[in-house]
Amino acid sequence: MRFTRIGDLEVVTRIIGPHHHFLGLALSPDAEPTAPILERVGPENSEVTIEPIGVGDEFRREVVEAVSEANRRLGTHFTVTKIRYCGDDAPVPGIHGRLAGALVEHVAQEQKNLEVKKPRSDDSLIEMNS
Amino acid sequence: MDPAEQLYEANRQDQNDVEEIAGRTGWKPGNIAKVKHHLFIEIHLLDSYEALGVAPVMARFDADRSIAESWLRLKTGAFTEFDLQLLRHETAEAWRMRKHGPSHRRAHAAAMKRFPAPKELWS
Repeated sequence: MRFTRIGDLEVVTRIIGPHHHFLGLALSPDAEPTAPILERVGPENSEVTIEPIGVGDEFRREVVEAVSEANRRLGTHFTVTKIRYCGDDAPVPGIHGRLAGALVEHVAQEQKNLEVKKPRSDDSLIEMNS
Repeated sequence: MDPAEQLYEANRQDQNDVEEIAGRTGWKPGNIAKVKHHLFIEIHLLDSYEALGVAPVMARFDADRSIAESWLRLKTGAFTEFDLQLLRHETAEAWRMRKHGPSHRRAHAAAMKRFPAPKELWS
């Protein structure tokens, strides 16, 4: 899997040969949980079609449940506010839930890495005194 | 390591699978070897989502348990028509990449027209 960021979306792609998948999620640490916006794109251009509520509800549920499960497992508190998927990807059962879980793991790990890199206040004092 | 990746690594190390699959299916060993190389070993230009803003990368395919299981069925002789269809699809895709350039997106699209990837393997 490969991870990238496009605008406000965290994106994961998975290409195995006979099929491939794209999933983008806008993840908020403090949003109220509501039904996320569901955006469909085609493989050849990034023109976005917003799916109305009632269309793709099963898809929304699969992704939201996977993010909740990852939150429980990792101790994070992400809420999905937007989902973007590619309408031409093969309808493989459960794949978008797996991708959503992997994406939360990736974002949580990135945040952890950033926290480790931040200098602690006592480190700053040592630097100032040296 | 991811369990699917472990299976892929075992396939990469397997010295007998090409002959075994050729013997079971009646395909030429050279053609099975090309599919094995394409699926498990070769680094590809993965550009499927370039138009959506995802930068192309050179990388192996991601490991997938269903494909590893399909390879095992081919090896043991317990294969189905869907496993043979996977061989045909990957053969066409690899041929297209050799003949018409490295873009996986283009090769995959062309292979799908003639030999659609068998969705039954993932249901």
